[in-house]
Amino acid sequence: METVPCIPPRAMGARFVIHFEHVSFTYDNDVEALHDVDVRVDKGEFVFLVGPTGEGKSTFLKLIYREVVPTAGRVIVAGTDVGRMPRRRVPHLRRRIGVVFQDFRLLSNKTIAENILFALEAVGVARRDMRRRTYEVLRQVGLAYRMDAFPAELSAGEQQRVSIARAVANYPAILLADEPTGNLDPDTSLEIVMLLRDINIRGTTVIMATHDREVVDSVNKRVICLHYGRIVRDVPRGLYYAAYDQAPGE
Amino acid sequence: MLRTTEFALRQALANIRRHSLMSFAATSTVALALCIVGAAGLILLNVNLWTRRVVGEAEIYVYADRGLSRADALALQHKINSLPQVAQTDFVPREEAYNQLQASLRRSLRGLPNPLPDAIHVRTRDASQVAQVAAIVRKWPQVERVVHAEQTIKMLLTVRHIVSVGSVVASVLLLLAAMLIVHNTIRLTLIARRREIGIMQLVGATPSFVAAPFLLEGAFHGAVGAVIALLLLAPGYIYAHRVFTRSLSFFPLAPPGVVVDCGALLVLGGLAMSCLATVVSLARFMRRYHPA
Repeated sequence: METVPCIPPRAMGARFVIHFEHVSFTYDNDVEALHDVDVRVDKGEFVFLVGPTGEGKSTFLKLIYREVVPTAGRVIVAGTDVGRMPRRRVPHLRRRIGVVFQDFRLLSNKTIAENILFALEAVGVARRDMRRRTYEVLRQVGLAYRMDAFPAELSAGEQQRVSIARAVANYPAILLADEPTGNLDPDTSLEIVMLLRDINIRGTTVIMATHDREVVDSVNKRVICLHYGRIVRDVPRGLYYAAYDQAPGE
Repeated sequence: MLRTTEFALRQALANIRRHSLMSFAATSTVALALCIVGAAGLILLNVNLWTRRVVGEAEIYVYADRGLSRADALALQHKINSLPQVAQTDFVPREEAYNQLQASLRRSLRGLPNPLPDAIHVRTRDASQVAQVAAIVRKWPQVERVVHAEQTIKMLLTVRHIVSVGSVVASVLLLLAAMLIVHNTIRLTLIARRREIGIMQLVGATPSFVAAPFLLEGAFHGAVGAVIALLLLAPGYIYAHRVFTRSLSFFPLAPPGVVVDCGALLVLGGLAMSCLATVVSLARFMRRYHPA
């Protein structure tokens, strides 16, 4: 497959890091999702966030793209405290972050090309660039030949590829993936994680929340284990069980 | 900017098409509400016009005592004129009044003695002061009789008050109902497009970009509703004006051109009302579904 640059020069120059400084987050129903999380992710890293459902993985990601704000501590993204960032600046933050979800979040009434065009139009990409970029990212995920298909006509794995293509279409410096293989069979899951690894190799920082052991073990990257909202292990190049089995109480 | 507007227009039209029934309900409710508000406004305008005219023509007729000399009668006029409530007085000598009586009776009264006293026509600064001035003047010994249309003025002022209060209350209630319908229509559109809005926000669309299609949709309901209301009101008013001019000339209506002013107000009011309802809808939706 022919590759295209994923990050434009403007994002390449900056040392783009994520820094959680003693971050805690409690939902309105008093459920504490994260407790005193202190961690740093450097530019270009590939990080797995592991742990069973309900341990705070999604909240961790939501804090990065300012879907929620910490109840204590600071979340620093590229030198900016996103929790205290004015609301009007949030769209600019999100243009530098791509997000992929387990349920793909594609618009069923639009073709896959239109799904990507819609996202590009929403952030004001010039019209002449929109088609070119759409084609580029679809080629990157191996779906250029299906650009006129509707999501319902694609397999789950292909839909997730489209979702990833949409997430990287705006050349984000960070890609967050929240259980992207949750709905996929093992082989397709491996394909998706390899695609994310390819994107990471081209310079994008990738953080992937998962509880899929095979996926984590397949690429031997940094693994952070969350347990009851706390980081219990942070292994630079590890396997799922190496991080998770040694968690307290397990 | 141009692209944002184009995107917003495209999305707004798609929303209206997608929820055509709700859009029809919203636009027709706005049209009906604005039509009734406009009609109430025109009625109020004309009632005010009539009241002002009748009240403006309302005078107190003060008849001087027959025993008064001309100089004393003129002094009486001066005294009345000095009252703070009085705007203007006209002295009508008894001879002139006699001639007027002859003219109105269309027959000569030659040979008959003039039974009429000198009279003073008094106009007050405000119609509500007529009774007060009449009561003051009536007590003076130089005055034989005081005549004024107190009951008529009272009744007219009461009618004007009822029409004013009724119009305002009805208008406010109807506008609130129309706002509620527009608010609900936009809310349904927002809920139907929740996924798209979520994606737009996720990829970094600005709030104004997200809101623009919905504001345009709201503005569409307001503007189209106002134009429909105007199309219903204008022929109705022109017809009423013709009927009043022909058959009830003593109650002349304001000229038909007033509908144009009324129309401009309706369109502005419709737009403001719909946009306000949309903003409220958007704010509530964003607070509920996208709070961060």
